[in-house]
Amino acid sequence: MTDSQIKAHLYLHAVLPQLEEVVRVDAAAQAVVAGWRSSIAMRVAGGPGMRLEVAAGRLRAVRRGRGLPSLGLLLASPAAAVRMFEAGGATPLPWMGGWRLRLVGGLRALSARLQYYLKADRELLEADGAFVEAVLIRLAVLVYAIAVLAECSPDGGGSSGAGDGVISIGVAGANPLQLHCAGGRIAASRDADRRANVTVEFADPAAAYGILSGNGDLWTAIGTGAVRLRGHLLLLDPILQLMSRVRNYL
Amino acid sequence: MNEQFRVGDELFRRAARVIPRGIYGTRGPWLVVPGSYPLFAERGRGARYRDADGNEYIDYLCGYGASILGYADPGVDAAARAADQSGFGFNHPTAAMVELAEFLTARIAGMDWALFGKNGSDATSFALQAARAHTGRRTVLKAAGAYHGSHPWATPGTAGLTAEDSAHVYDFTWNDHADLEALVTEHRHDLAAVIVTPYHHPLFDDSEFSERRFLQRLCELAHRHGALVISDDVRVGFRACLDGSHQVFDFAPDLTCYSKAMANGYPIAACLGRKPLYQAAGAVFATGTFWMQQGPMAAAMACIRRLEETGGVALMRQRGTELIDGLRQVAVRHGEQLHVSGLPSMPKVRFATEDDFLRFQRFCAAATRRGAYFHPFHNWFLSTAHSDEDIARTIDIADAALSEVVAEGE
Ligand SMILES: Cc1ncc(COP(=O)(O)O)c(C=O)c1O
Repeated sequence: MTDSQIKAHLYLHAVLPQLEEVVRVDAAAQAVVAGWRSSIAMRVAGGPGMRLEVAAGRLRAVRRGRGLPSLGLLLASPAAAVRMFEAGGATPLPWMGGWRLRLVGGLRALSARLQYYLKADRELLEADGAFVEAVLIRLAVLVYAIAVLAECSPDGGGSSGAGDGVISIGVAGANPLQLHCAGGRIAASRDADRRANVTVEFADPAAAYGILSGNGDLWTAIGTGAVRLRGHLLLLDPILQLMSRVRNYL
Repeated sequence: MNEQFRVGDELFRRAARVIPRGIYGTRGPWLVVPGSYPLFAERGRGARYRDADGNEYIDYLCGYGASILGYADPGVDAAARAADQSGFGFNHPTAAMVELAEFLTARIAGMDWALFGKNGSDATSFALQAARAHTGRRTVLKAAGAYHGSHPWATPGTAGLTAEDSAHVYDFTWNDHADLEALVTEHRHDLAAVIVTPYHHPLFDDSEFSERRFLQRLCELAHRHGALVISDDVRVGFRACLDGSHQVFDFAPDLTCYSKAMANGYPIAACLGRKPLYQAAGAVFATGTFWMQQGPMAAAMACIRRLEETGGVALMRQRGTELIDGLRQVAVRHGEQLHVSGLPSMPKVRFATEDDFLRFQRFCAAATRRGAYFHPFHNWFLSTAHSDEDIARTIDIADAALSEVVAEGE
């Protein structure tokens, strides 16, 4: 895969799904989707697709949905998708429901809220009381991105060598995310519903923020107790390698 | 963090500012359970050492195997000091190098020459180069999961490496003769060597002895195809046998590597080989500013002699057996079962009922906090300094630690 293709996968399959959380925790986003019973499909020509299903004030991101979407958007190429996510520099072509201006505008508003949680600096987030949520959403992007990168790598990102197991990654006091490794494939899940064989737990949101923002070092954080590692560390090996590769793309 | 490790933790914070990862490599906190383990040592004697906070441990890692007579062994230390007193770091080696080479070649079965470095990785890399120089071939086979050092061809790490660094190095499955045979057949025209440890002792996984004459057949196979066999005896060396672990495990390597325990912690490594490899070994460019220092060489001779005089190998086996028997009884009392593999003097221990170490880690952490240093993932080591009282005290500690884990529940 080219870098653009990998990035397009990351944006659609690791970043976009975080709208689920944004809608759950953010009042402005909730206001946007209030009353919606709609689905928005986004597809990249020669690349990935993603569908957002909204109903009863909840948003679900799924890779495949049934039936025609309320709004269907096409990005001309992976490079165009990357431009759209990185600089808002490309506009998707509506192939379905382009007249539904409320959805078009709503999607724009949701993207802005997602961008806020992903990009706003710490002072602003703290002033808004949104720091914890933003950290959890950024952590979720990372965890999803690990699975997406493994999927985009010819050898599963080395995950086949480490064996099967469940890796839990989270911040103390909040629901962790899980990576399920089986048969050389890795899947990310927001529902920590399986017994984890390894856990990586940040002591608090600030510790996670340090690592996620690239200012902190994971290994020293482990030594100071800011990150707690438990379980079968060998399973973590490919995950950590994929994690360091995420930085090359996002 | 835990008050018990306040000084050590503060040292770690200072370290993290000026040293990548604070403590790099296998001594880093990631491989244990930070908050329950010391990160810095201060002093040690015999089977015990104190950390930077003054907490004392009966040690079952022994400096990753280096301490075989116990820390600060008076005999070995005196020999090293005496040698160093006349100065060191000369333009030349001293007589100690010749004496040690004579001593080891007389001792280690089948080996005719010796060459010295500082770390196990120096020895294994040298052996690899000597094998390639001798055979004029490139390929090296190793068991998957086996550790042969930190040099680029062998390291399990990934950062800063290129695919070319480990080109020509292929893994076979330990004890799987068919797998090995297939690899040997595939690479027979370019096969320089097969490198093995005297038994398989991977990190995390159980240790495994050679089964169905695996090592003997490996030697036959390699030799039949004109390849050499390297015994990486860096970890097992001098704990299984003073004459080379291949004597005990009954195989016939062409090159053998030692380090870790050979000088009770003084920095020295050795590669030994058979006579036909003498010229090829000489052709390899091998040098290091500190490789020929006499202190560690004198320490090595004193250490191995002491092991012989005291029946060290049998003693460690006996103490290790006592430890394991005691731990098994403790485990049974708490409704737990231990799985133990490898030599009693370097047992690999885990709970039989789990394979992800989650509870075992808590047990090791609880034992370590109480003063018995148990590594959760690595095989443990005994030294000849572990006394009956040390073992008895350790079993009491393990009992309390396991009570804690059981009380906590899942
Ligand atoms: C079997 C084996 N070979 C080689 C080495 C590398 O030795 P060193 O760390 O001294 O370079 C080790 C170290 O643990 C080892 O256990």
